Amino acid sequence: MTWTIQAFIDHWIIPSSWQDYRDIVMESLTVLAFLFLLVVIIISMKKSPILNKHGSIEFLFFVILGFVHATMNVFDEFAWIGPYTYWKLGKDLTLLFAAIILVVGFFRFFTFSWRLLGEEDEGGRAKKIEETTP
Amino acid sequence: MVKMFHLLGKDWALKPTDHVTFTTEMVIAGGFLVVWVLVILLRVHYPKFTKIGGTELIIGMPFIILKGVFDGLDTISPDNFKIIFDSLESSFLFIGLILLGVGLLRIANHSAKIWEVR
Repeated sequence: MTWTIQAFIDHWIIPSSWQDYRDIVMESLTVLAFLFLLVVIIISMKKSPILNKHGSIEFLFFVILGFVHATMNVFDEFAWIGPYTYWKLGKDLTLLFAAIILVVGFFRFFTFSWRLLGEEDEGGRAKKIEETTP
Repeated sequence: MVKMFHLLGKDWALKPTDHVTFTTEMVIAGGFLVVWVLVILLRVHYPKFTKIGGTELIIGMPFIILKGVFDGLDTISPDNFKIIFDSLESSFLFIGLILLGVGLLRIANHSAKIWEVR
């Protein structure tokens, strides 16, 4: 086990230059941004439970995967990873799945709005509803 | 085969080991581009429904697309550019995510008002 970790993490890095610190600060901010987004999604799911089946769950998974990606990004500022190409590919695949899930989420949100509202401006349901409701 | 090109006085190279990584990063940028198109379609089709929150999403998504683009540039850039692209991609992701969060929160508030009532 120790051998495996040693092969994976070549050595730990002590940040030295101001560029290193700037990088760490920026990447930590993205981790915080994903946490902010997590809070937003949880609030949205509570406020608007109708969206849970139409996109919110996908947004939640996007945030979780994105958070994992951002954390990996911060981690490799402190550790010199031996097989860096695979590590970077792993990071990218995490974000790729997150992006695909976000596309699915927005697509479901879009089709839901379509079904619910119809064509807003071309005489669809939305216009009719507006005409009938004061 | 290493694909080399000369830009800004430096040699940029796409090594065979980076092909998969670079492609993945470009697909990520493409994925976020699709989200941007969907958001724009929503905004165009439902101007009243997306009046609140839609604009933040439309402004925020290009920042996240740029994160993917800079991630790709980071892979092929010469060593002394890597740290700049690294910082740029996280800054853009940060701005994009905050705008996305604000937009989604406002949409949720708005849709809670219009859908829960009906």
